[in-house]
Amino acid sequence: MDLSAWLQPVANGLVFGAILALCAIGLTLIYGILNLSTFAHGDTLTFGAYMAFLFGTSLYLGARIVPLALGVAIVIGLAVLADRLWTRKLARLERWVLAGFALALALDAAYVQWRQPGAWLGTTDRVLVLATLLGIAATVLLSVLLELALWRPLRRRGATVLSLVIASLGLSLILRNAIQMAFGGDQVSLQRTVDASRSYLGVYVSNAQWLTLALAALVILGVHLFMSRTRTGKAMRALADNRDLARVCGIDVNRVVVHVWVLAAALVALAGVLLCLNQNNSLRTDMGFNVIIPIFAAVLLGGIGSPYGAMVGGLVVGLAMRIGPAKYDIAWAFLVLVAVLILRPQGILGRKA
Amino acid sequence: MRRGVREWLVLAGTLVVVFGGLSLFGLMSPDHALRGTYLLGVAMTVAIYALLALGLSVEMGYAGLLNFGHVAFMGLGAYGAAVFVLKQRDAVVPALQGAQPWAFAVIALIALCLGFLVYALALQVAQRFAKRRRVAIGIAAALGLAAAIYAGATMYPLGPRGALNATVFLGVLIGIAASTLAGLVVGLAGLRLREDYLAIATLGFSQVVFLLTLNEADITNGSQGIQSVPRPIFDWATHTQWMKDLAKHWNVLPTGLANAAMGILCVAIAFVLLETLARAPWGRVLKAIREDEDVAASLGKNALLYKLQALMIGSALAAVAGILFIWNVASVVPEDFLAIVTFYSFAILVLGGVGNHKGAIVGAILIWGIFELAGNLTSLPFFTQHHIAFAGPPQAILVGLVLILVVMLRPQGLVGSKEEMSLGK
Repeated sequence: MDLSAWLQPVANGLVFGAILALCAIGLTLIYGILNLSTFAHGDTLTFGAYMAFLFGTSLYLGARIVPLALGVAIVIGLAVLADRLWTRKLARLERWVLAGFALALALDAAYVQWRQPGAWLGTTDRVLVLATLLGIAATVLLSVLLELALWRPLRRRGATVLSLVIASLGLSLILRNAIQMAFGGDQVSLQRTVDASRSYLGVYVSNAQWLTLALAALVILGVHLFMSRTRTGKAMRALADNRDLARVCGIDVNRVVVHVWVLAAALVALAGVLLCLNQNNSLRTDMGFNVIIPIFAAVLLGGIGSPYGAMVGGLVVGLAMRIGPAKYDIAWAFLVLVAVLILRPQGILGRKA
Repeated sequence: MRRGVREWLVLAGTLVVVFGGLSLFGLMSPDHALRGTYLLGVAMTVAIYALLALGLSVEMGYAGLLNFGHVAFMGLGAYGAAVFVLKQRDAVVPALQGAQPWAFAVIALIALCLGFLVYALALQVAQRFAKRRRVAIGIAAALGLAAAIYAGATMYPLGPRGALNATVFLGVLIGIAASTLAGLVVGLAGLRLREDYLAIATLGFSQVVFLLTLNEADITNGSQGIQSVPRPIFDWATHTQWMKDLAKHWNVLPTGLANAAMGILCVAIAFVLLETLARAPWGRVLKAIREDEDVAASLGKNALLYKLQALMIGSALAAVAGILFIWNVASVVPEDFLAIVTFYSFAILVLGGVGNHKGAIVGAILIWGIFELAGNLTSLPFFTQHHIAFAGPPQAILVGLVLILVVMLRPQGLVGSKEEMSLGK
């Protein structure tokens, strides 16, 4: 067998692993900081992807006012929430992120308005960028609202791990089936230009795959900078490390937790859009639930609470799933999971509790 | 004692309300026979889900284990029985009758699994004996079962397909044994872990079992599934005169009556067994382990062994539910055993009350009662104009709401008590 037949699954696995890594970073932080193994994380991914689809479709159909109004409402909602949650003035980072986000939205909206949709082939992709940004915003809003309405009351009541897991299960059911009721059970597709792929020594890599790799690398670099340079990022790591110690040091737990949800939701919504780009632009309501086991495998492999571990874990699990026979892809992730649980329960980058 | 009375009253009340409400809808239907048979069909579904929830009740309520892959054990039971009966009977049963050496290995394997189950059940009797005696009782039970299986396999001639003959009998045993064995393996791999790790691992396990049933087409016939699985109860009911007379007297279909009776009987047996176990030292040790494993261990109790037994009993009950399911619908496809079944069972248990076997039954009646009542409501003319169907997503959303609301508002469920196991603290 020639080399490319071996390298092709590796390339596909790296791309899929990058998507898993994006999902796993958020989940590992939620798991580590809140001690909450949320089974709804996969369905949050579905939600993000479907929101992008919703905004994308209505943008493409020309009814631009509705999604734009929705998007503006969402951004305003986020800003109001941010104001309510952080009664002091917004920290510098949040200001920059929100301002940058609004600017990107405005620029892209202006661009789409300027170029008629479909006037030239690039336009559908521009719509997709805008739709993805709006989808991410919607997912963030949903996650923050859920934190306020569900997880924080449960935490305050001192709910056990058991009841938290069961509540997350209920949430997962509601999310997935509400999406199915709204969009129907059939597969839908994002509007996109035809995806070209190029051969490198016999290994085919499509534009979507390059995009996924590049975006994931960028985002992971950003997460690294965020985790290592900013106060909030350091506070997150401190909380994941030792919650009581962090609290004693004066870290406002609830505030950091909201940040964790924002980060996790943004990453997982982006991962949702990237996942559809790599599945012929198709969306299914169970797309998120189907990857929850691989995501958990990546989280446990990397060690709970360790974002760097989650990145490595995502890549390893993604490779394992693409190199093994495809019809058993979940089974390979499951094998990784079981092997980690039995051989090294603290994960490769984790420490013994 | 008063609490016990209250729990029974809640159980009776839910029964009356749900089935009374359903028969009220039935009054509008012109076809009398269909109405009674419909209620029996609901009773059968309730029985299957009650069995599933009873299994979870042992695992979660008594042992504190979170098994998100419960449906996999149901599927293993159903597929074990169906595959054996339809594909292997020509090979296995003559081999058993001719007493080939490897046939004894099969028997021994089945007997070991089931014997272990019997051993766990016999523990409460044997608790007063010394440890060595208990092992002896377990081995005796296993041997006795092996003898019974061998006798069952060889005594009955190969009857017509579907009759309650040796093949079907063996298939049931193999289904239960496969599920129990899987419970043992999963338990050995996963029981040392934290509770949420076990939940993740078992959910993964159920997805792998689903992929196996879907992809191993040589054995399971893939996505086509296995059609025309023998229905011994169904066949028996259609060929038994007094059953037909009884059904005619009550104006229902004899098959529906027999199925529902079988389901209710299974639930009753399982309930009595589990209640006996729960009151025996075995149940108390399990509860002690659930509350504080170290204390139980310091008193010389092997926590892992007890949890394994709980997991195996839960798996065996799930297998029984699976076999009842295929006997009811006469076919088995991979999509019958999706994770949603596990989640419905969890909602049933959580709604009824974790740590109380009556809760599992109350929950099953209530959840399916609500499903059916809502389904009937939405089929009224007013709703049908607006095309509201109450199946699939609305049911799942309701179940999700039940899970979250119970956890948030009433962690002990409907008939649970706060001092006992509850999700709150």
